[in-house]
Amino acid sequence: MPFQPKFYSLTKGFSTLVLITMTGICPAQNPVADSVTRILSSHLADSAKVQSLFELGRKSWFGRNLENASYVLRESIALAEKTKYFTHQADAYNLLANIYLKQEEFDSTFLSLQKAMDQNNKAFLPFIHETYSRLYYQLGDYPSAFHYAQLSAAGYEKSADPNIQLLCIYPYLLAGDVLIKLRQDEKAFEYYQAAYKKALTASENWYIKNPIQKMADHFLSKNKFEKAKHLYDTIILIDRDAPSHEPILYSYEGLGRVAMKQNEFKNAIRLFRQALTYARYQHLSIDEENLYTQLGAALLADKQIDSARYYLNQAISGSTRNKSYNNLSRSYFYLSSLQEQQKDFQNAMLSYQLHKSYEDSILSIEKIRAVNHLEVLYQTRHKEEEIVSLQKAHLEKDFEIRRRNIYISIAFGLVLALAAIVLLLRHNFQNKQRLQSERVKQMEQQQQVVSLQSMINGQETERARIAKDLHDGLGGLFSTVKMYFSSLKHDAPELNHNELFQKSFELVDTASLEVRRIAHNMMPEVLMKLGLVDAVKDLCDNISAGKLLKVSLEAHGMSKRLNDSTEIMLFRIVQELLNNVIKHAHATEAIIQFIKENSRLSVIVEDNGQGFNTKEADLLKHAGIATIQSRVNYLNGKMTIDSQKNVGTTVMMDFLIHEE
Amino acid sequence: MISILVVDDHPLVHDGIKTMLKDEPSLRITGACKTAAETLSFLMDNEPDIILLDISLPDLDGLELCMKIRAKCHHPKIIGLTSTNEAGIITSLLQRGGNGYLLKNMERSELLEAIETVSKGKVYLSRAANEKILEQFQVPKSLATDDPLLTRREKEILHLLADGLKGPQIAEKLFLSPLTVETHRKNLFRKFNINSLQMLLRIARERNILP
Repeated sequence: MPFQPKFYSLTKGFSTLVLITMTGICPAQNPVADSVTRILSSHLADSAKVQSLFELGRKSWFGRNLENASYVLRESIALAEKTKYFTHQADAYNLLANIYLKQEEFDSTFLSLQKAMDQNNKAFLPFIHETYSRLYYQLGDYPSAFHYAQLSAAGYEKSADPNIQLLCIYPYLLAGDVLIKLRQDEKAFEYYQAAYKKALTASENWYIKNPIQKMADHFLSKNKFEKAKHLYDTIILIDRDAPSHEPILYSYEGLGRVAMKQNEFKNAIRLFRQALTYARYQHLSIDEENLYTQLGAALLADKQIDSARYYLNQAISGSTRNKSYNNLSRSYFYLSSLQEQQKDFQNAMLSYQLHKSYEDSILSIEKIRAVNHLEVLYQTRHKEEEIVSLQKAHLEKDFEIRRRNIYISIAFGLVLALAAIVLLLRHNFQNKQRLQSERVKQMEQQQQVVSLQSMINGQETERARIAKDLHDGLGGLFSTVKMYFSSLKHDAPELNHNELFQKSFELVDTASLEVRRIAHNMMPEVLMKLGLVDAVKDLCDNISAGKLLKVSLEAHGMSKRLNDSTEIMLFRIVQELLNNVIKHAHATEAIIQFIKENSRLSVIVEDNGQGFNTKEADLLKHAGIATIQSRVNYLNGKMTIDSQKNVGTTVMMDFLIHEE
Repeated sequence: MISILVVDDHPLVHDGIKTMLKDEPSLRITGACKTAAETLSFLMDNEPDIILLDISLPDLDGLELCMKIRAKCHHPKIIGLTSTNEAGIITSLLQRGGNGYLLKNMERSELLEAIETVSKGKVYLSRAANEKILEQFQVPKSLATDDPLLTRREKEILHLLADGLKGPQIAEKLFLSPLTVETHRKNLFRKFNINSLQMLLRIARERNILP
């Protein structure tokens, strides 16, 4: 590990301070930490900072610097969470998962992938599926790995972007690797070929190297050396234009293995050395140890014992550090055979035992891995179940709430409906009561009207009767007495000088005039005999004769007489109004107007007097309007008073006259 | 020799008149009726020169009886006899064929004068009745013309109608209810006996009510 593993455990808040201190101590050793600090303290927008950190993390990943990449990416993720800038978040989590996978931290890998999934970035799903596939491959769950590889490949293929479509090469290769593990070599080769065909569509040679290498490996395993060699050579040839790491390394290694199988040990040594140089140059530590072992084996085969021992020991120490048990087992196997050749049987025995034990440990590791995987699977499933049960509980709670809500709304609705019914009933009851009371009131009013009518009628009838009695009875008597007196005066002329007789004669005359006046006021004979218009005309003439007020009469459509009580009532109304004009208006002119058209009768009494405020109820009472109003009501008429100060008053009455 | 019929439902009046005329040999009361029916049947067989007719009879109005008598015979002179002194009654009696009018509280001389006057074919009115009749002509009214008299409101509305305003606008302007304005408008139409606004305005201009 060439870079500071310390970064790994640094917390964010603390990191800046430590980083600065460390920068002071060893500035050349942590350029990435410097970059992070620079980015974080820069004046860039938060989104730009996240972007920069992410790019830095990716660069570190491509530079095979896992610790730095992990650190920078975690910084990037944290800042993105804080600033809600999630554009690269799925990508960052996925990269982090790949890093954890390389570091064989499977739990963290799972967690990171889960987080990547949580970003809900559909376009990024194939990337995540690819990582899942790698994870399951590493965990030895080949069916799952195969499933995710296929998902990922299908996802990439669906993309509209041809560059992303090309990425399906990698899940194809992964699927092939899985099939190799499942010992389905031919089927695996088909997947490699599919990857190869896809890679051919790319404009660059970059993509083609991996599929070719896989195909070469396949040919090598089938001992088709020429084909394998040709393909490895092709990769190396291509790589001159577009350098990459693994394919070229594996090609040298592959060529070396071909040479070994063809017993061309010197050639193999040369090729392995070349691969090793490449691995060292690219800091590919795991492959480095593997190459040490292979080189050791080749040297051993070439009888260069010391060199072989040196490389095998290098391989053993490196692999021990890396816990690469597979390589350790193989290295001890070669060392054992070397020691055997040296007749050092005791050490050979020991090495062999170590080889075996490591082989066992590989098995046990595999077992542990399997168990771990099962554990992880169990945990995952447990978590999934938990999630499901939580979701179920949530749903149930939701349902419960909804059900409660429904109950509440039903209850509320019922209460409302009940309230509405109660209100309606009450309203109805009140209405009924009001209606009843109104009906009673109406009846009372009707009764009042009827009684008023009969009272007025009775009054008028009585008046008419008394007036007639006064006229015909008392009036007749007085007239007759006067006639006798008159005859007596004729018979005895000397009575003309009798003062007592003269006084009696005058008094009888005055009494008869008085009776006539009273009778007339009670019920004008002209009203009874000739009707309303003539009676009113007489009235007008009588008033006008006084010289103070000239009253004119306008009558249109009144040739036909109305019924007696209506005429009496109208006469009384006009009489009353004229009394008001005389008493209060101080008018000099007045017009009384009867206009009848069909059943409509309009009666207007207008004066040019001082007028009054129609809103003053007192004045209305004072002016005796109330009496008039009641008479108008008796005839079912409508009266409007329109009065202007110093201009005059117009009293307007409208009646509907029902003629027999 | 003048024959007189007295029509009055009151027996005392008969006696009074008989008493007043007892010293006049040229005047003779030939009949006394208490009802209109009695009078009409009496007139089937008799033709008095003078009828003293009470206007208030129990079965028929005296004015109508006067009209019925006139329809039957033209000869008798009818003198209305009443205790009321109302111009309307007086004129309508004369219109129905009456020849004179006397108040019941007359003096003997008045009665004799009345009989003498109507006998000569002239109209006689008692002094009091005369005054009443004359009152009618003291009313300034538009007697000189046939134009109907317009109320103040009617004049205002007529002017506004001439200005082209509609009912509701006039109501708003005069602070009246539209119904009131409508009534005034209808009354105007009825007064001039026309049924369109155009005619109303034309007539009003012709008669100088409107400029």
